[in-house]
Amino acid sequence: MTGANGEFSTTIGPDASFKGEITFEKGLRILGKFEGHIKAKGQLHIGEGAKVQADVDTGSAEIDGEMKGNLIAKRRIQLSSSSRLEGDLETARLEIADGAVFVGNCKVSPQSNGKPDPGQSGKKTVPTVGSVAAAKK
Amino acid sequence: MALSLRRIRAKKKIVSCTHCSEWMEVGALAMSVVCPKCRQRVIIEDYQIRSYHASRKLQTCGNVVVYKGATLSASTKAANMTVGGSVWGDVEVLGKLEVRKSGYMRGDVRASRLVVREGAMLEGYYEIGLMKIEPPRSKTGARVESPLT
Repeated sequence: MTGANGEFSTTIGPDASFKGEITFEKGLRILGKFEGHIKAKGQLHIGEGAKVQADVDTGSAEIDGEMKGNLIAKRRIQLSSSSRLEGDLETARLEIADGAVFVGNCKVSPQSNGKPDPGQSGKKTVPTVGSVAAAKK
Repeated sequence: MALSLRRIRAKKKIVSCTHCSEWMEVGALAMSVVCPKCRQRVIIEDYQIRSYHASRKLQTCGNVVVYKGATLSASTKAANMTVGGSVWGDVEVLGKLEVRKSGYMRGDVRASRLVVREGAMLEGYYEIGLMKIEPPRSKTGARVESPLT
């Protein structure tokens, strides 16, 4: 849980290494090494110097370290200037700071909240030259 | 007047050819040049998209700004780019690409640096921070400005 002082209830320390699947409800901070799967509704923080190789499905994520794997966050993803993400990313809101390294597919839209796309009703369509000319008439 | 004109003429900048990536020194006010290596015409001017612009390719050694509410539909290559509106097509930026909160991008993106403000919408394959681009120093010793921010 992220309290008033920003502390997380679960922390994997800088000298710890974890292999496997982890689930949590409120908050997880990784400062060491992690390999496996993460599934949660809460907030995930990958600290600077941490190395994560995992497929992640979480509520929101803040990345300062290195991560390899696909990342899905229902609410928000924040990549800081020291972060490095190799993998696909899907979220509703994304913030990337100058200096971050990111390689992978990116899908950021309010519809990417883990729910199925309702018939792509809100999707924009590519305006063509013909449609613009017709609109002018 | 003559002195100020001379000063303007003396200003130079280094740009990378959009066709062969060769670095070359050009006048700060030049709009386009012919690349000494590949002999192709290279556009240097900046583009400001304020309404709607559609073309197959938009290639410049300068900066591209797509303002809020505007749409750019093209495969784009630029030194630096700022997106406040919509961009449809692949984008390659040598320097910094900034997507503001009102920005929408659909297409593959390659850039040295990327800044995304919260609220922007993106879709495509991204390659950020893998290009290592450093413009060379001027051979003539002239004061040159880097095209990359």
